[in-house]
Amino acid sequence: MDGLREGMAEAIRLILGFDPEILKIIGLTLLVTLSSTFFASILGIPLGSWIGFTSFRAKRPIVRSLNALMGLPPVVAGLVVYLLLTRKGPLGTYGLLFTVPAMILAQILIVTPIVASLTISGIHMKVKAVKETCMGLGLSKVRTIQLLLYECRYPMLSAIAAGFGRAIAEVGAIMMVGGNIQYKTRVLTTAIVLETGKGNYGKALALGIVLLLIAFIVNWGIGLLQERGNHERRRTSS
Amino acid sequence: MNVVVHQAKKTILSKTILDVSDLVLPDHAIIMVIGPNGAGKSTFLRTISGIDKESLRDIEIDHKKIIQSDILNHMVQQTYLFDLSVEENLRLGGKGVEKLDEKVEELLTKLDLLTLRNEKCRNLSGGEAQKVAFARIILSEKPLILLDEPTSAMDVKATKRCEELIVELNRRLGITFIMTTHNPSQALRIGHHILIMDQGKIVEAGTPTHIQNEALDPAAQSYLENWRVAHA
Repeated sequence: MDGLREGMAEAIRLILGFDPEILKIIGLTLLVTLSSTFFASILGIPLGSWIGFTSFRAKRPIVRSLNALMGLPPVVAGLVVYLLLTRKGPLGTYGLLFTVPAMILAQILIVTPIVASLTISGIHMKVKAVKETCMGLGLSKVRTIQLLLYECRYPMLSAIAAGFGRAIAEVGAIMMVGGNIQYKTRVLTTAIVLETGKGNYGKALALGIVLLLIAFIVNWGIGLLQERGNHERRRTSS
Repeated sequence: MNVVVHQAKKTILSKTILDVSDLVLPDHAIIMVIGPNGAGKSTFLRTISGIDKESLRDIEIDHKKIIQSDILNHMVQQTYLFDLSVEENLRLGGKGVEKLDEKVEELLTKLDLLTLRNEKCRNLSGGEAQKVAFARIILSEKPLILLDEPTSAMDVKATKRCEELIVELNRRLGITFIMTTHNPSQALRIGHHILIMDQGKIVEAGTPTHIQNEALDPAAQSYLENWRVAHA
């Protein structure tokens, strides 16, 4: 209990003291997770929308594969990216190993199936009704897709939130390809592992609190966007 | 609008869902399709419009086998309104319509939707939502309009308004309506031609007078008898 109490006191001191190392770690964490979520969304949402909207023979195995990839072990993703970027690997000449882009790349690999798969689920709930309604109205395919994407905007936000949640909590892959280098590739999760190992519980706890705060704030923001519809409903019916 | 169904067939796991052939529907008429649950009424409409892709289909509309979206509109049974306002939803049915603003105002007024025009559709009751979906379908005034139980969730007043609109559009513009209903009274009230379906087949067809007095098919007789008993 004493250790925890001391740790909490240390955490408050570090957070309120704007420790430069902690600020750097927070900045890097935001850069890596937001970038990887952004790029994974750019890839995953169109991919999921396309798979959800169209019917083709291999659709079911592809959807199942994407669902399975949602549980892709981060160390496996890290290993794949490591092998790609290592000096002898196909992308070795770019010298990206142990850099921020390598960490982003590893997280894109982890987050994209999550975004794509949840987008497919969202589209799946609406696609039949939207397609039939649009066909009944004689609307074009392009207009049908526009309306379907509009109708699925909240499930897509949920998919992005889930992807972000996975990215910010991830440690295995970015540790492997980032190397946890101080001031260069150290992010909140890898720093927590390191500081815990060194017995610096206060610092680890401080970083943990910050990690929780960021996750809460971002998810809260997305949740607010999703609930906006409900607020409008309450306002219009009062 | 001339509709000839050479063949419309659908089977699922060797069970016949729809089996209609050599059916010529009268031009510019209000055609009512009635029958018990699972008779194949919705599948029949979905096959005509082409929404049902699994049905075997050989249909001519105005002597053309390819049905283009500018010929017909189809209001499917499950009302789906987009997460937009009532007016925005309504306008989705107005592609290429002349005097659109005027027609939108007219429909909103006739269907008592004026006060709801800016309301998000998710806030509407089932009956109000169905009125919007109905208005959206008839707004385009296409030559052939298929309606799948369009008034099933509406109250008596709204149902009467919709029936009046159907009759008016048919008289004024010669629009052909093919409409399913679970209410034989409604079919007899506004229909020029009535089809009774049972187990995927059309078992009786004719004018309301014929259906009421001369229907010979046992399934049709049984269906009408059940309705008469229920409304006695």
